[in-house]
Amino acid sequence: MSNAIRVMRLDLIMSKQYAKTFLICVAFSIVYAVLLRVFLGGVLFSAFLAATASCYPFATEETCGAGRMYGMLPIRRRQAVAGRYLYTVAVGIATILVCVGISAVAYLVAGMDVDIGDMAAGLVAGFVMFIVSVAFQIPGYYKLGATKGRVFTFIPMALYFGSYALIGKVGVQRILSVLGPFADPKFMALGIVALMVIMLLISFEVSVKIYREKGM
Amino acid sequence: MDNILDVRGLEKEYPGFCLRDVSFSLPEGYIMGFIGPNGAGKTTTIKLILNMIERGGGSVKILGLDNIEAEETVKEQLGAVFDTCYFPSKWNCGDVERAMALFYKRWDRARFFDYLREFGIDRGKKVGELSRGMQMKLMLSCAFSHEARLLILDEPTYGLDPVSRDELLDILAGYIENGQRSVLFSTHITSDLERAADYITYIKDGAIFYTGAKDEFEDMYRKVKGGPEDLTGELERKLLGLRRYSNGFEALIRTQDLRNSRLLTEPATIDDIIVFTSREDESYE
Repeated sequence: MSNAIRVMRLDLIMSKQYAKTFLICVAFSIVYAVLLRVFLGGVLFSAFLAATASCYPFATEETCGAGRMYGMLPIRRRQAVAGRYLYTVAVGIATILVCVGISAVAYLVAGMDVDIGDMAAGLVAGFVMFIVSVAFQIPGYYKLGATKGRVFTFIPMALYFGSYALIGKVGVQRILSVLGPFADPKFMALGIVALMVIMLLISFEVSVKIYREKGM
Repeated sequence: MDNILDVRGLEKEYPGFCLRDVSFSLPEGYIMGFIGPNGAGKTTTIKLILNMIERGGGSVKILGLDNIEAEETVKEQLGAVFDTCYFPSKWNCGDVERAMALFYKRWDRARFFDYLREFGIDRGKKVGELSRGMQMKLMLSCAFSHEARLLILDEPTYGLDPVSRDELLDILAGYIENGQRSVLFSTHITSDLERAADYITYIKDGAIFYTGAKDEFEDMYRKVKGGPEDLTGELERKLLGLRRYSNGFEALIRTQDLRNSRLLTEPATIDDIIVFTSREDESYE
């Protein structure tokens, strides 16, 4: 087992104290999706919750000085940061998948319409929102800690609202015409995946740099 | 005699503080007291040894291996105890065991629980519910359960009652008994060192003031007292941390400077040496 995976497992133990609250919130997002019949809204809500979970190991570290524990463990700093990203991505994937799965089952049981397209759209939108959020949040937590670093949570939110306002003002068709050949669905899907990967990689390298300079 | 820890020319710069050319060695099978006033650079040095912060220069070798190049191998051999417990307060001993077992190849679960029993740590309690003494013993249990050969303690006796401190010293004495393990022990409570330490490294203003055998350190200085008429200019130049009173003075003097002197002297404790060498001349008229 690599050290990054060990750190991911350690982060899960570090987050144990928040598990109950987190699961209640995820359940609430599913109820929200079913009761208000907003499948995508529920998935995006769960993605937002999953992104907040990236804060849990930082919060535990901050409250009890557990950062020193990571410092004495037989791991390198880069591995410690990689483990933190693995933990975050694992929690994100699990949360979004669970939310999409349970919401879909609940929709079917309640006799409401939901198809593969809705689920795929939910998954894609959820992962994009999640990755964009954590790519900003994690370096912020490394730099400022769990409490002060929360300010970075608002950067992706500002991006969402900015994009929403732009689309509303300019119109989807005009944006697609500006994108030209890049507006092709396959091209866009690949572009989104590549963008997410690049964002995560840049975020990771920034976090490693901050962690190295700041120390444990 | 092999050195378990070799620190050479260690440097680190912060705004307003600089660690300069810190060098010392700790042989196998001994306890070294790491002393100095607040802000002298003890914790910075310890963090550099543990590679918790980036060094500005110099080298740290643990069991002959560079602490950065061979960080994982080196840290397998290291145990650390800090002034406050680094385990989350809501963890119980089982969580601690699960977490530590992930990282150490030589982790011995049975031994860990044996130590908990030996130290009287209640396994059912959360870390935050344990007393400071018990938290310190929990950190020690972890270090002992993966066969750490170098134990680094940063102010472990801070806030401990005398009984717990005494227990810690007994534990450390037992730990180095086989002659293959060593302890670097940073503390303000120098009476602990009088009992436990074989070597002393004294750091002052970011630089090493003394490193070597404890007995030699104590023998190097004497506390000297005298009346105002005894304080000649020649003597004053030899004194360290002179304190003047209306009826005389007291200061520290190097034993070698005492030859043929008829002044009243007494052995200097480690505390005396730290206090007198850290303070400028003072008057209490």
